[in-house]
Amino acid sequence: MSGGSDRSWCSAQGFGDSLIMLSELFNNQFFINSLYAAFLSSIAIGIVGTFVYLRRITFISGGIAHSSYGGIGMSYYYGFHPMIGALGFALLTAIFISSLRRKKRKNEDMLISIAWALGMSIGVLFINFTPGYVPNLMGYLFGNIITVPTSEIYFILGADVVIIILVSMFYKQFKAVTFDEEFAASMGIKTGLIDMLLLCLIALSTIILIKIVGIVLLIALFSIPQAISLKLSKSFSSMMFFSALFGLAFILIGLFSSYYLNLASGSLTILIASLCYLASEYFIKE
Amino acid sequence: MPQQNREIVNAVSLKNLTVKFGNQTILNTINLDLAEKEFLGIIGPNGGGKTTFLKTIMGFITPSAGSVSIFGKTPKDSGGTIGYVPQYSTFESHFPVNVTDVIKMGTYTSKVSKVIIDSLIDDILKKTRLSHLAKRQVSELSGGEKQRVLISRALAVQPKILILDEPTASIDYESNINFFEILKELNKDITILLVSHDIGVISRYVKKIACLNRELHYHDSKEISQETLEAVYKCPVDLIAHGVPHRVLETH
Ligand SMILES: Nc1ncnc2c1ncn2[C@@H]1O[C@H](COP(=O)(O)OP(=O)(O)OP(=O)(O)O)[C@@H](O)[C@H]1O
Ligand SMILES: [Mg+2]
Repeated sequence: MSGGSDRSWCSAQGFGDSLIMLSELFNNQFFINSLYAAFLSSIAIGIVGTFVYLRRITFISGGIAHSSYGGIGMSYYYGFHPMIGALGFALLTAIFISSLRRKKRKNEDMLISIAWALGMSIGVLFINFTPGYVPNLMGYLFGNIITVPTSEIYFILGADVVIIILVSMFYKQFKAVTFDEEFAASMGIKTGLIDMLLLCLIALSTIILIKIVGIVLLIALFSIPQAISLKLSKSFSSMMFFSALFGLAFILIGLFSSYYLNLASGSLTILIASLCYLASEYFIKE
Repeated sequence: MPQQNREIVNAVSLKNLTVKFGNQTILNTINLDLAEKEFLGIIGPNGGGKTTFLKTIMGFITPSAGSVSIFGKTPKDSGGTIGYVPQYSTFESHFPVNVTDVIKMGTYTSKVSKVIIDSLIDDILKKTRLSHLAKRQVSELSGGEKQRVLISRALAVQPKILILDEPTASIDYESNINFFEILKELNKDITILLVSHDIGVISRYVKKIACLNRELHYHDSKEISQETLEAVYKCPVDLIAHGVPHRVLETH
């Protein structure tokens, strides 16, 4: 499958020409955009990813991400921006899962599975309904950081700003609920609301990461950078910082290696992240 | 506290409290009025409903019937009133936080300044004799140390009611004595509900005692009859009282 990497933007020509190509790159708007996207997504990976990982709800983030495909399909059918569709579906799923998983102790796995598969199915059906040419949606599934248009950069930036505002407003609440929900409740913190807010932050992160590694691979950036960072961190804030740093490093290495190898950037990012995780298991003694 | 209201508001007031899980009745029409600055010890067999009882008072569990009021308010509106020490540490020990961080979480809903909080934490660390572990990661604590951190965190809330669910199960003798001296001191100002299987300790420190096994046996006193105990535990009391039943059963 070659869908991930867009062959038209350049072609690798061996290492000799590399430096020339690199200087050309920085004149390329798409390349500049992909750098912006990488930096902006590291914010979501650091902040939201840390809460998600420590709260052990990585699979909820998988469900929310996959459900967003429904919105993307719908956006093609009705003709609005795919990011709006993705965000709408992701937010609905976040609210659906967070409200139902508390009520009556519904089986959480089941809720995640439904959201996961239903979202994908709706997406595929809408694309079936859409007459005429439907662009290749591989980029949304597996990421394609080098095709992020400027309009999407604004979405990503907006989502990051909302994440930063909400987390700085409710930092203590997020921390308390993540650490010990029962005790947080005994202090009068509205744990249900904070939980829902966290899942909505995951929804925002989905549209941030969707073009970086895609719906399918996103879950890895909500676990690998955090797992490595946890080994190095003695506090929440340092874990956030390291997670962002590792996330950024993986994405940038993925970006550059995709450029030189002409392979899908999202998949390379995950491959590199996974190798680093294995190395960390071996080298870092907890 | 407004004084014009002559009516005494109880710290905890339960009216016909009933809790069911499915079709199983765990707590059966419990009535209890606990005045401020009481120290109630609750004993009862495993599965008797003690933890459920405490969680219902805190509002984690919605009663099937009856009502709970904390200083005249519903549990949901009583944030910051209650300090809770759970039976098992409910936190995840893989977290990147140190002992001070965890205790500080008890102050997350309070509005006082950082300086005051820092000196409060220092005080609590000294009281619970954890000062030497202040910067230790929680993942590196022993079970008993962890339990003392939980107690410290509840103290940091500066609650009006302290609710403790077998807080001393894994705590060594000396820390145990130390801990109950702290409770005694605190009890001058606040109300305490304590679940414990340690009848020796219960009898030495609490003011009132209740027995819970689906139903609450409580007579607004520290006395509990041999018959009640045996009925509640459904076994000879000496067994559960480690041969010291007479400490509980104050001489009639
Ligand atoms: N969430 C739940 N769903 C269904 N049943 C429950 C639930 N929680 C507790 N129970 C049941 O309620 C009963 C009382 O449990 P509880 O934890 O309150 O007992 P306890 O008195 O605290 O016991 P222990 O001394 O072992 O701590 C038990 O039979 C238990 O199986
Ligand atoms: Mg219990």
